[in-house]
Amino acid sequence: MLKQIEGSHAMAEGIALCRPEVICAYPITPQTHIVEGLGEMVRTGALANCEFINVESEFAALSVAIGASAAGARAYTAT
Amino acid sequence: MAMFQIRFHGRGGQGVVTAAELLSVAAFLEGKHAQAFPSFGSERTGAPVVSFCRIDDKEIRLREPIVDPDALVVQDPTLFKVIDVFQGLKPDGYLLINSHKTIQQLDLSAAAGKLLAGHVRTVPATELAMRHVGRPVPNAALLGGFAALTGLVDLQSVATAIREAFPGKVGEANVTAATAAYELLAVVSAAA
Repeated sequence: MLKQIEGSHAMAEGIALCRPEVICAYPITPQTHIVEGLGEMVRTGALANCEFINVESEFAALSVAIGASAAGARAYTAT
Repeated sequence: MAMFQIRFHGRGGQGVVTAAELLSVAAFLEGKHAQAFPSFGSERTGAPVVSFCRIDDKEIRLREPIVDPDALVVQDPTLFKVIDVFQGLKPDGYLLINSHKTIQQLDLSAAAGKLLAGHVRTVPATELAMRHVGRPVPNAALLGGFAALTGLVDLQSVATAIREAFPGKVGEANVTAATAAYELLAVVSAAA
């Protein structure tokens, strides 16, 4: 079924289908709506087995993404 | 149908971006391809804002701002004194202005006279929004007026798009405002 949605939310849907286990975000335009969409899916359980981590900088976002990846988790960030 | 392009002019806080999005959803509900996006300017209440909507029977590959619109929706008539709202509007294009005044009273007779008769209308969308929604956000009413003026989308599709975006009382109030604007312009069109 086709659906008309915002581009950033379409990205979030596509990312969720990749089953990430860790998502870290330091949101700022233009990626805010991507991680908002993902955060909502983690909260409602639509995206299960995934930890959403708010971080305090771009540097921290990449640190978390690399750390999670090194530990064997599939990690995503839009930051 | 050839591609139809609409440009919305307003000020921050008037729902200009949402208006374009709602229109794209309304067209999509009728099986058309549609896109909507704003121009990125200063994001603050009161600043001039422009948003765009494209509607076509086939896939839309264009991604750039609309420079030669088939229709203009002007949410704030004071913008005519600030920017060149008419820029690029096609000679057979449509013009819908949010105002309780007539085209003559807005001092737009010269510019509007270049367009086809019946393609130019004003609608008191802010007044309708205040009456039915209780807030001066004219976008839903203007979309109802747009449906009546152009016939591009059905009022029913506009109503569904509004209800999807704003479930509950807020959506119903905006649907009422849109319907009131539609009826206002549909009656005027029939009389003219």
